[in-house]
Amino acid sequence: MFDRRVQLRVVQFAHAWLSYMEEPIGDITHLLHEWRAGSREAENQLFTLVLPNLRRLAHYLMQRERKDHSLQATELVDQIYFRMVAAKERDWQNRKHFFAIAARAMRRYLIDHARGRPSAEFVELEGFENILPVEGVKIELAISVDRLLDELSETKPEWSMLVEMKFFLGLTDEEAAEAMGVKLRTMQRTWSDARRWLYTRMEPGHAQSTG
Amino acid sequence: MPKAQDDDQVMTLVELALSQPLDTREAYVRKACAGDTELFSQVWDYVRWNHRMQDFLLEPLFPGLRQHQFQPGEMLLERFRIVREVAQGGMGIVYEAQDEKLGRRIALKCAKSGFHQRLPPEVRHASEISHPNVCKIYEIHTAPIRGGEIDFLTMEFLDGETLAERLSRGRLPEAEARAIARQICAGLAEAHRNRVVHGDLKSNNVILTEDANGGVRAVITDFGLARRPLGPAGDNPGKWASKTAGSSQAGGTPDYMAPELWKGEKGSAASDVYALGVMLYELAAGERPYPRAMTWQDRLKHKPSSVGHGWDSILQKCLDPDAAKRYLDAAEVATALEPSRALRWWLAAAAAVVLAAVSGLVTFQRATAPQESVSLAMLPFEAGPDASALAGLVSRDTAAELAQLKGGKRARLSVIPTAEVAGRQVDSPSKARAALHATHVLRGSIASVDGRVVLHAFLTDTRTQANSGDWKAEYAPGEVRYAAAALAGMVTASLRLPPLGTAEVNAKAKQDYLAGVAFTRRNSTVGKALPLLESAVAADPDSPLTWAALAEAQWFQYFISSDPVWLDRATEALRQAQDRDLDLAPVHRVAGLLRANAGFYEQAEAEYQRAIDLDPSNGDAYRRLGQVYERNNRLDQAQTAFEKAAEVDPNYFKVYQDLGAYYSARGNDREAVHQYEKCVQLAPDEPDAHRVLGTAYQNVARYTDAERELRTAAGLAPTPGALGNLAVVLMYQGKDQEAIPFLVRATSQSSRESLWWMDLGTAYARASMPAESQRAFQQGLEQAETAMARDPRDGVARSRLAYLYARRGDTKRAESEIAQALQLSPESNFTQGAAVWTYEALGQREKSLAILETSADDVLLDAARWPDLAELHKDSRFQHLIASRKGKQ
Repeated sequence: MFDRRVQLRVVQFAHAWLSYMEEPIGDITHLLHEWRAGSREAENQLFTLVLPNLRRLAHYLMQRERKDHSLQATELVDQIYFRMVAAKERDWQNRKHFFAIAARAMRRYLIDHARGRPSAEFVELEGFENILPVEGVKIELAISVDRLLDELSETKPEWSMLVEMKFFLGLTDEEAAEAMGVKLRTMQRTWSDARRWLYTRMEPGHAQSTG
Repeated sequence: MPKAQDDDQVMTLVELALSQPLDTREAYVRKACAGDTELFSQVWDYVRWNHRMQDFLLEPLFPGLRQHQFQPGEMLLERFRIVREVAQGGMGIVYEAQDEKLGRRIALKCAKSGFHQRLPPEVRHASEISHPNVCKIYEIHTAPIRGGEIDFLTMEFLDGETLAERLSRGRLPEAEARAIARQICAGLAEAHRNRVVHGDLKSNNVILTEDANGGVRAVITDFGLARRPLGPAGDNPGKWASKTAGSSQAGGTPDYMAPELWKGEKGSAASDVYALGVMLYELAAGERPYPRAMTWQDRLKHKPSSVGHGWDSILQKCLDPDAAKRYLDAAEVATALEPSRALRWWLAAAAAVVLAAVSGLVTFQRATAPQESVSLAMLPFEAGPDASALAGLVSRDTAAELAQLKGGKRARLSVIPTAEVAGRQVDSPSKARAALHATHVLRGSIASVDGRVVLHAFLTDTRTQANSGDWKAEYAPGEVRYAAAALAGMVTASLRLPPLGTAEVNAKAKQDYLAGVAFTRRNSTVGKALPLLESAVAADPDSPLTWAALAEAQWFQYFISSDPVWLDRATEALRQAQDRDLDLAPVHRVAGLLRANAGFYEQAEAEYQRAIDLDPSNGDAYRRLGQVYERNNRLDQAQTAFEKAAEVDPNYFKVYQDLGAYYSARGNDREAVHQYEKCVQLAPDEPDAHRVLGTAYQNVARYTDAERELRTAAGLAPTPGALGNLAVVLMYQGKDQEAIPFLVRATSQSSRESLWWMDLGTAYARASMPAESQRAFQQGLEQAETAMARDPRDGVARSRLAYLYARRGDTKRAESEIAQALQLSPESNFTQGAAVWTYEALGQREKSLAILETSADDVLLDAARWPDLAELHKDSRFQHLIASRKGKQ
């Protein structure tokens, strides 16, 4: 009985979101596949496809001070996934890739805006200044992390992906573990390793320090 | 996957270490690693770095919403008005709210949002507890919120502070400490009596408030909300490196965790008793029994220091590292704490009597429990105006039944005459105690709803106000005459008194009844039992026995066919039986099946225990008890129960089928074969008996014997399972040509099962029929894809898919699928085996060897036996692996 009610909820939930989203998009799984194979072109196309919906996500989070907020990043990304990926392609591997691309898109989006020079293909986000934390320090931190992640992704793509999910997309440990398809403790270990890698490069006095 | 296990071990220790004070961390880790220097250096490295990095990157760039929050004044479901936020706990936010419909103040607790947003089903069990020392859960609701829905609980609002807060202000006066201790014990005992385990008991979960007379009232909260044990992950698995690490309050759950929980076992009454012991120690001593920095290995070795005042022996028994040596449950602790000898007697009896289920077999062997004196009064049933005449009738009949009740070995009994109850105008349990010295009262209400009579009765202990019995029934007007007997049955079952005589089946129904019961004992003849038992019920509808027998046959029909219609019918027939008499062995035995099927293992246990009490000569009760224990992972007790079943009913084949399955699941194939052989001996014409014996022979490589048994099984009932298993045994012997027709039949009967297509493809390939082989693999692939779409997280199904892709020549898909399968079900022998087949089919020898190096012996042995892996068998590295593994054995 309990289970049936939960299923019902998922359906209603999805339904509520569908009305918010853009029209269905073409073969996103193909692009995800290309992207995993290393295609920058595919990444750009994916960003173009995913961003309008992510923008809604950001809007949503931005309005968190209002009383009708309710959702968290994972659920929203899941809904975007649900919307954008054709039913038969909707497997675990694709979902993982989708989370990865959403996290990366979010990173790129936030960083570009933080730097004050949004790329031409990105849609302007109203009230963006309300999203980012007020303290300039944190923006500085994000820009430094972003810079180092490019280097990290060459040797440890999984670590870099995890930083994007945790830091830029804001997933909890459990959510990130599920999105990565690994055990919680494994995810926590990787997260610790990745933080340490970044930390040692950002500590004052380190050669690559961003100051 | 050894790496993943390492992660568990390392990161769990890191989390625990970070919860220690800074200056004791290193010593803590050193001890916890117990001389394993490699482990120590890894763990310590993480601990140091996490300390150094502080909260670096732990806050997301912009914190997403973690949780839905309601605002003061907000209205939920047009009924609950939020007043204010009271607390944020691990489980969710707690609000104070006003229930506008009932005009009362309540607490409202929301489920935490996230991947698993619903409330755990244990909450439903917890909501059945009604006791002054347990926070009452009213209801579970679901409210729409923007873009979704959220579950929340409504419960009793408690104004006060937690025991943890109170203790942090200093040690309590002895009298107050004892009063609180007794109340916590009473509340927990009532929960245990309802087979509800708390699982996360700690001083943060006890709220101190005032009772009506201004005295202290301790209330346990958060029953059923304990998070699933995540090994020794402690209180907050997701926040192991959060900023609070190092502080010593709030997240102190590890201190309350019994040693068996540290090892990853499930919470039980015994682990609750341990946590209770920690709290009692805090109450007595003002501090916890062990210093925070002490590792659990050290806790095993050291007894906590003495607290004096007669607490010590009780505390030591609660805190015994060996769960079996602790008190069985909270009721026993209450007994020990209680100064009065009479009450001690009573509670000990109650512990032995009512709590049998929690302790399992230990209890039914404790026949010498001290005797209790029960003095029972029945209060007039409450009824609305339209049911008052009816209530009078039921009261009169019930009084007549109760007057016939007798005490037994476990309790002396006196029943207080109704005239005396009426004469003194007794209308509540406390008055019954004061005016009549009653220890128990039977009370309840009767209402007429839509032409049905709804009866709700309680058996209440007047000293603790706890309900030892709680029975709700719905009768058609013509059936109300059964109510008195059912109520007497509730009393005898709850107090474990001798029942009021045995039920009978009338002469007209008897023949069908007996034949039906006999046919129900075999799955292959249940179909014949059903019509016979239906006519028995028609011939004797008054007998609870005919209904119970029908319920049992219907349940087995459900078991065999998986058709939920039969489950509904069985549930209804059981209700009919129970409405006639609750306290009969056959009724308890069926009730246990249905409770266990719904996941209420502890309640099922209690049913079987009572069935054993009433009829110790029936092996089914022991056998089913064993099944419940096995499902609940209490293996020693399961084995004992199965053995007892074999002792009582040595000629029943199902006993050995259960024992065989038990040993097989534990990896003891030889013993499984032994048991299944007995099973076949006793039931030579039961196809399932031959089938299970055949597969057991196959597991120990006795292929000729396996083939014989499976041929017999397939001859008796040519089901796809029997045909497919037979074919596989033939393939193990290299008889692929012979296997093909059986697999063709299996696939035609069960075309959606990818397994038989997979085997058929392999058999064709080995028989040099490549075109047929590819067709079969393609068919299997399509079925496996469909299965995958149904449950993408099923690692075993995914590993089949991987193998099929490999055989169809799609290397990329095969590699991707097998990697996922191994990630999803790393421990499964089947997945590992399939991975070896897949990598071999892809020609990736290194990878298959890598799997085999770390796999269980079974996987390696099976790979050595499977003829289709001939190339692997020739590899010297594989031969070396086999030789070295044999050397180790």
